[in-house]
Amino acid sequence: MLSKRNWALILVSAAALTLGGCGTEVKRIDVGEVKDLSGNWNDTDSRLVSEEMIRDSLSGGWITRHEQKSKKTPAVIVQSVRNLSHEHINTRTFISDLERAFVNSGRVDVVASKEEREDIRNERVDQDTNATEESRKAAGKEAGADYSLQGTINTIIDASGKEQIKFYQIDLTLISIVDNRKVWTGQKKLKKDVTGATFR
Amino acid sequence: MGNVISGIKGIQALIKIGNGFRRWFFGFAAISMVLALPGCATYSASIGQMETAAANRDLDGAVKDLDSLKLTGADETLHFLNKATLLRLQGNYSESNKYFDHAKGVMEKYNAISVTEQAGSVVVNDTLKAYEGLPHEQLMVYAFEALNYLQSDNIEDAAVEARQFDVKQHLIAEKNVKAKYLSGSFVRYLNSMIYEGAGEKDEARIEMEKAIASYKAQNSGFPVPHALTEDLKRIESGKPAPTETVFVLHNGLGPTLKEFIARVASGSNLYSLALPKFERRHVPVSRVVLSSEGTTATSEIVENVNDLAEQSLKDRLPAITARAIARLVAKGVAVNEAKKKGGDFAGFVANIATNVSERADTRSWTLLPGNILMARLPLPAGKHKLTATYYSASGNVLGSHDFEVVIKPGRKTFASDYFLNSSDNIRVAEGAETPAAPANVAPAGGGVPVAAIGQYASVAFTYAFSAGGYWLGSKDLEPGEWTKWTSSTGQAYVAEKAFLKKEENGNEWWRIVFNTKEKEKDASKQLIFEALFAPQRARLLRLRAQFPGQETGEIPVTEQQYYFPPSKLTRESIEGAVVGKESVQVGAGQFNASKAVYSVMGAGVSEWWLTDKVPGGVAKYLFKAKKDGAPALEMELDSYGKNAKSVLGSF
Repeated sequence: MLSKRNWALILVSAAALTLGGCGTEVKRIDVGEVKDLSGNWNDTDSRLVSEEMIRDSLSGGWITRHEQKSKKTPAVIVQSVRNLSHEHINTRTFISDLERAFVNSGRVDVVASKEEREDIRNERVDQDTNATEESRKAAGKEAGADYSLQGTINTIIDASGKEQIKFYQIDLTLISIVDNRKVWTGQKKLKKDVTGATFR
Repeated sequence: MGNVISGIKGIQALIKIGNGFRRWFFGFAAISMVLALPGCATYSASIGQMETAAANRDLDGAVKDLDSLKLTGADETLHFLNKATLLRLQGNYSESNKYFDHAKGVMEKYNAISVTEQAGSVVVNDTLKAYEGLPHEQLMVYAFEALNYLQSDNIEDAAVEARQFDVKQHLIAEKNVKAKYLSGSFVRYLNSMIYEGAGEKDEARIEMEKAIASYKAQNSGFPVPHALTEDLKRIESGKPAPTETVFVLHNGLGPTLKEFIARVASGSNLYSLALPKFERRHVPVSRVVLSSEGTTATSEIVENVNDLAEQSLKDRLPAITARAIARLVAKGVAVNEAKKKGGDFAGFVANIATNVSERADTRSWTLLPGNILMARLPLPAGKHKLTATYYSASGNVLGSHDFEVVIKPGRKTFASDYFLNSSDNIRVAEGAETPAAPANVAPAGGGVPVAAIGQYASVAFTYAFSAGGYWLGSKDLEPGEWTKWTSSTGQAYVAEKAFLKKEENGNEWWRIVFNTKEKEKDASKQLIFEALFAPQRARLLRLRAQFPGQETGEIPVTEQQYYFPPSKLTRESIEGAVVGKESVQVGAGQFNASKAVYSVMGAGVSEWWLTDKVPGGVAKYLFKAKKDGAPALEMELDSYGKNAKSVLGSF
């Protein structure tokens, strides 16, 4: 039979092993810091896409051409960014970044998307019934968009054993609502080499 | 069980090699054997309550039962898979997918090898290894997650699942080249519908071709679904997808694994080998008829999960058996070490611990359906009321499910339901019990955990009643008779065997006393067990024990004891083993005995001196590894008598 001392040793070491992580640990990191954990789509990917798309779209000739033709700032509505990839990717992050860059540049107007304007239209109807004559906002005064922003995310995965090569391609286009012409296309490619752990 | 026999042979050879690992092994093995004395219930036994609740359509109760099982650590994959399934059956699709995603995450994590777990599974048993999810289970996750998205009208995310599945299936097929059943045919069939619905016609057509090829390769005993072949013809001719409702039925409770333990006595040691055994549960629904406003459609089998699971176990059994045999060797070494370090008694106790810790890994995703039925009813776009009626094989209506759908033009709407078995078809845990936590903790004085004593005792009685597996005496003890034994070899041995009392209902009280050679003279150092057995000593019912230096106590006895009633040899077998008459002198006197010789598992010889003049019919017996070698165990009848009484106040 194991002696008292040995039992004590066993129980102490077992306790030490389990007591390891008492209390959650939180460490704040910079937004720009790159930290890849699982190899899946993460915030770094989203940031790289935003930066590329913003730079490319604002320097495209389409804004100038539109101003020359119609003497007004172009208005853009975000329609759909289809996820044709292998991962459940949240496209709102880089779309929001793009919208913000447009608005802040002062050269492009962004119009509320289909989901967003539902609420606004309901608000107008409500104001019609409840708000004062002066502060009431009339229907039929919305700014129509000139261009629709659409996009796709595609992936190509090559996998064998524990290694995966993941290739992402994000394509965004601005399509003229007047005549269906594509006035700008932006593209960002990302490639990752992910190797799973052999031991843990 | 040829593997068991060669395993035993292997042990005796490898013990010699194993002696080199002595120091390290003793510590680790002994500690883990004692600490890891598992609960009496295997996974499949304890999950029964959850399944019964689910079968009775009490899904909230089932979720509670699942949570109370506290499947964490090595078993957390099962918690996620089962929880996700229950949530899906409840119609909570988004929560269900959260859990399926968790399951995917841990399955990925446990893909990596943990050295400590591997070591643990060699020393204790396979249940210490983290459950990674069987390959066919990993594939099924994608089908259910996709269905969750489809039934939430989210075809885009369903398509993401389809694409993920393709990568995963490729990786699994890469690792299991010969396993045709890991083609994921049902998932591919579903994915083809998803791709077509998402507007990817080429992907859809390719997926349909792959699905048909998979069904054929899998050859699951049911034909390639007719609707799928029609789909391929249609898409090749360029016709658009019909507007229809697709109904999927979770049919019956999925495959489960039971434990099968082989116990073999070799020499003076008892060895156990635990393996999982496949159990197929009855699938209640034979077909589903989907009807609405006069039109009907009959279902087809689109996946036979029972067959997949059976094939999966067949594939895994060689590795599981190899690990079990490696465990036998490792535990054999540990027992030897215990004997060297702690004396015969420690060795004896260690031997029992090795038997008790041998459990089979019966973990699997049991909430998977037994098979999956699919019915497709073309309907014009708009709102419709539908009824799905479930028929048994003999044509009886087992149940039905009414639901409403809104179909968009050119699209499919997905709906599903489950029909698990009636509760009597569910195998309820056979007296499974997990000992309360305190019983598994070592008492402060440094003894043996209480729950373990019961297990020890029952295995010890197995020894006592059937030395080497059998008892050759032509008769057994009468009530009141006792026999005392001495051993001339350095072993812990049964010093006394007494039949104390036979109760009116046929139950029997027996006592056995254990000794070690050094402590023979000191009565207070004896280990005494008094136990109540069912008639013919079929089961152990009650136990009282006195451990050296400890108080006499009532030891808990559960339904699941490792006690094996004695096997009686046939008279012809004993007569055949008798080699002649031989006079033998033992403490109890001199007898003109019949000498019988048996070979033990082909790994040695046992010799018996039989005489009707003594209770029990045996005056002396021994085991030896070689015909002419020294005996490993030699027991002589020292004295015998009548009027044995309880010394532990048992009655």
